[in-house]
Amino acid sequence: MTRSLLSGGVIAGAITGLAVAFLQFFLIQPLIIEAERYETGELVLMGVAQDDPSGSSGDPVLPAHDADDADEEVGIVVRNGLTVLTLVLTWSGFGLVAGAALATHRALWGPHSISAPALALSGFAAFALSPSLGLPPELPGMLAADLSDRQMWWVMSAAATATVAGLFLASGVKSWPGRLAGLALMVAPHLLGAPQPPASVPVIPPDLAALYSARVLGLSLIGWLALASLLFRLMPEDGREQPTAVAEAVDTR
Amino acid sequence: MSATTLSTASVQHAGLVRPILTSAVLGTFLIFAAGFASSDALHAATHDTRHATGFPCH
Repeated sequence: MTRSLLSGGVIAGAITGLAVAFLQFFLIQPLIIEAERYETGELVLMGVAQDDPSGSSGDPVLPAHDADDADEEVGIVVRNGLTVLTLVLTWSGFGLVAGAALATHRALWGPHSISAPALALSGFAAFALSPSLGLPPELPGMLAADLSDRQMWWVMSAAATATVAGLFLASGVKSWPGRLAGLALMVAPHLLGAPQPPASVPVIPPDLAALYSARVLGLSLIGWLALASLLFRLMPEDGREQPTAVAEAVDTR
Repeated sequence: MSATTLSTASVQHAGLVRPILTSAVLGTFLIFAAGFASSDALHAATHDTRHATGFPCH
């Protein structure tokens, strides 16, 4: 059981991570590269929009350094490879946590106590939507408050939303005091307020940051829908985990 | 009948505790390593992933 639950979460997460990485290189990576050009001062916000032919969603134009071209290409390959690897690891982590939540629901409240879309939306709300309401996805070069403060708030927001989403989905929380308590827990980090940077002149174009935020959240939603669908295929509702050939192959050592 | 059923269910649920906890702890560890660890090497490796997943990065 231990191995089947673990392999189900890891397989679902790894496949999702690969799919997210594929989409990331089209939707998000070009925006990060462009933001880094502002971060390093290669581009300056004022007057850049008219002069930059690549636009906010175009291909990144890297600075030309003839002697360093080979090194640069190797660097890009390594950087992108590490991004694929760490996305697979991150989504495997999400897969394991979501798999644990799914198994808990079924054990305590019945095999049909949660659906794939409900699991997907809960994960998206906890790990993407709720934290981003206070700390929008940040591009390189964007000013931000102290890192450890932001990390702490991010964890508080995600944990509160995950807890409340889990409880509400499990039992519907029939009593009004229970519902209000859940709502208060979920909203508390937002009432407390996320750490904000001091007011300053922006370095990154606002339209680039807005496009980036929308794409990060959109890709996260796609990822969670895919992850939940895969988890439900690898962990069917009759309680017999890992019916698929790929899962059994991984499970058999 | 009910006692047997309850007993069986309890045993089954008790057997689930360990795998569920293992899965949750391992998953949380992976998320924290990829999203929050402060070592320079990990930060460099996970830089684009942190930005793209909405984790605080810099």
